[in-house]
Amino acid sequence: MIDGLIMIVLILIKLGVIFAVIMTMAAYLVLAERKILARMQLRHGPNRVGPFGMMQPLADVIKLLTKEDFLPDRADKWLFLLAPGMAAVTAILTFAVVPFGPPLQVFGHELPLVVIDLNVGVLYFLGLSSLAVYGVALGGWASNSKYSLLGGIRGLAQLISYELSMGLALVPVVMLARSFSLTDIVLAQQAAPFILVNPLAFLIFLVSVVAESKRTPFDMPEAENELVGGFHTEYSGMRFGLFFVGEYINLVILSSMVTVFFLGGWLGPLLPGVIWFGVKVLALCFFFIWVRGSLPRLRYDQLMHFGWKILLPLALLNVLLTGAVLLWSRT
Amino acid sequence: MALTEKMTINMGPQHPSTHGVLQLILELDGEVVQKATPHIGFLHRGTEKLSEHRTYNQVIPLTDRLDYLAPMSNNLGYCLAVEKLLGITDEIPERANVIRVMMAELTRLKSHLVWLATHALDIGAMTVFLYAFREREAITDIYEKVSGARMTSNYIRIGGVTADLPAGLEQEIREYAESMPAHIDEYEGLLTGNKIWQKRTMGVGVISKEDAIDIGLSGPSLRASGVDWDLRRDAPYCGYESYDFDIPVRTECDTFARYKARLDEMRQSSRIIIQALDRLQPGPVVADCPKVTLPAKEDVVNTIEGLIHHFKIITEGFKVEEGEVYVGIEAPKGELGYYLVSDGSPMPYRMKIRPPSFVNLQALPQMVEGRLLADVIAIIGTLDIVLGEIDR
Amino acid sequence: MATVLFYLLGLVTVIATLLAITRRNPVHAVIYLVNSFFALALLFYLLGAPLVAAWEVIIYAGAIMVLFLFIIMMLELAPTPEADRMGPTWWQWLPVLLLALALVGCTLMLIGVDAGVAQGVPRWYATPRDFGFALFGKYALAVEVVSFQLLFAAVGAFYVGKPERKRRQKKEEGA
Repeated sequence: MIDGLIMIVLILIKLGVIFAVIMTMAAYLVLAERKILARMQLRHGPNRVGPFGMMQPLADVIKLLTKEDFLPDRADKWLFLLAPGMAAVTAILTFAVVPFGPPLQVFGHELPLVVIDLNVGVLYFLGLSSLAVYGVALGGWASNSKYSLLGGIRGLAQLISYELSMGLALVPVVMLARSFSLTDIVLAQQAAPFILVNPLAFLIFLVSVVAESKRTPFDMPEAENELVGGFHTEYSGMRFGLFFVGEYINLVILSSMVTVFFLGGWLGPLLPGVIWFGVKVLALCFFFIWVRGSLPRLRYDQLMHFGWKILLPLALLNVLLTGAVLLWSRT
Repeated sequence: MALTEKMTINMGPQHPSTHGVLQLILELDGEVVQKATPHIGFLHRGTEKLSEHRTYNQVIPLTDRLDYLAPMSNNLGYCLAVEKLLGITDEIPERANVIRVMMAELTRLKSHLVWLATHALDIGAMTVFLYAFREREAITDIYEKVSGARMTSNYIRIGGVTADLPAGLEQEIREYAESMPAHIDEYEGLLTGNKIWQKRTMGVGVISKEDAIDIGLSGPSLRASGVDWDLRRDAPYCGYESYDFDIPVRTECDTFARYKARLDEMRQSSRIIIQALDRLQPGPVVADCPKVTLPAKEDVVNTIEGLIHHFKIITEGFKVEEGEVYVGIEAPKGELGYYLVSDGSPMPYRMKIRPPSFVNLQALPQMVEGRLLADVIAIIGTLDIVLGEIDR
Repeated sequence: MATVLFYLLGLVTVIATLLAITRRNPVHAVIYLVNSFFALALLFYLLGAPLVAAWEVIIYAGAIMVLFLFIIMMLELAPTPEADRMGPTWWQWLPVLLLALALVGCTLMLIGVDAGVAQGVPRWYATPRDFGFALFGKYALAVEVVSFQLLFAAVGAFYVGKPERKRRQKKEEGA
């Protein structure tokens, strides 16, 4: 009985810590992005609130919370109010399957450092990432604004064009690991991370992930120079903030996914697993910010062409090749 | 798709990428532009009418506010027109002409830097924006040193320029002009070879050579359509004919060609600035025409003639003989023309400005038809319009 | 426990589907349908088929409904032609709130319940591997036949859906 209680308490603590870490990471990623971009662009970035601007995220949240929650005329109310939540929640939920370290031994209990090790973890991730677009699409549609609508449509079109290649890029990973479970996938990379085994899949996945995160050069749904603010043009206050939180949590999640699928997850010499995992995720986040600092934006028909005519055939070819090599090596 | 309705979007006058208060009525099918109608006039200040009630000298500050990204070019065009009307074109001292050329080219750099910055930002390359503004800032500093103002310079005057260059500025300008090609390489490193940049600009906003001439395009937009026409060479002023520079002409007619043409033009501008600095000799910067130009400050303070001249020119201006004149110069954005009619009074009877942006904007509907919404932004950027001179 | 969950999820599925077919607003209908698919996916999970559950979400909720939404958004320009200036009324909120709450509750309970324990059906648990072997081993022929059928249907729909004029042109060219 006591054992069971300890277990439940441990799980609750774990959940709390994970949630807090993700939220803090998302908040400080915003700051990090602003700082890093600023340094790349000969600026200083936020440096007024607290030492080195470290309290800026807090100030932002307070500002967003105290802003008027504005509802545009003739907007579709419940969808308008629901959409930001959908964007944020789908992002947070995805983290449930991410294994961020080897199992811990606490009070004689084995505590896996993953919320739930689903045996269909890969599919769970793909499913939620395809649901994430509902926040964008519904937010854009419900705002009753033409710019928002165009942003929403772009979001949908974008999803359709990269989702397939993203899924297909993961097929070789699953074939190599012989499992859908993310923990198994990490453990299958003991010998060599999959980035070395199958670099093509890594590249396809990385590009798809940038598209999934809706960041430059694939930030068409919110291209502020074309659509003012895209799908979140009409949002204000914390609802706008929720879209932002969703975007940055998504960034953390997607970096974690790349780490798990291709960079060997928590595996690494000398340092503890959790630290290795953190280092890899942060390096990928930095990569995303770097890309944003250096690339222009694609046009959305160009993304569609790229997705359907280049990424998808490549991914299919990669699946075939990997399958052939695996079969050949086994016989 | 028979079922889809056309969507009408009022793009602007409040929109991040319409470069001011341009309003475009776009008819969209999906995201494909069927028809674009520019609406202008939101920034109309009646410059031409206002100038009918100002003395010739008082009009110069108004011209600053036409193309506010290239104020000295506007000053220069107007002053050249008035000088031609007065018949004192040949009396402008050599030093003033050299300074004018130098400033005109610095202004070209300044204007093109803003164009590059905003054009790149519109297409999503945020970093170039800040890099280009770093260099523009230096030109603004030079402006401030010669004229006291960072944007509305009011520096070039009828008969010369306001004041001589302050000490040490020549060296600063030289260093700046010499560093410019390296900076342009920096921008090109971020953009020219970038596949995404090429995809967004190549084949976008094509305007053929014939159409460009029919519409009356001028400046880099015309030269990127394969027409070798530059007023600095074909109708020289301020002694441009004695400078050694190339005129970049490209034949692809698209946004990328205009981008390259402008960048090459910036390289040529820094060449001209260095040549101008080389031939800068000490001497007067204002023509010796006491009835037109203001006397030197010590004369105003020490001699009664100086004081009277100063008083007369300030209070009632100078009379200009009846006549009319048109002068066009190669402003950064194209041919900037001033048409002046004088009725013998100290104020222009009529002033008509031919702003390059206004004429270039006419190409927009043709260029965006059948393109995507994202291209509209790129095309507005490539035309390099400034609403200050479109609406006047 | 599992039985309660089963009936709860069944109820959610039925209500969501009913709401989906009675809504006049197509976007709302899509949302209810997605809700229903979600409940259905959880049912599959409960019945011991996590792979089918995942596919239900990825393919139906994540891809097909997204396409639906895409088309609807392209066709319908304004969300609400009639302006109701008051805030959202309780009955507007209630259905989606109830459904969402039921789903969240079920999901939470499912974390505590092992898959494949619903009573009334044989206790069986299909791992992705089992499922794959069944699909591409035992029933390979049936799967291929069905997929060819779908391909024919797609080609047929494409042909039928072609504008009349173009088809006639083609015919004339052929003749």
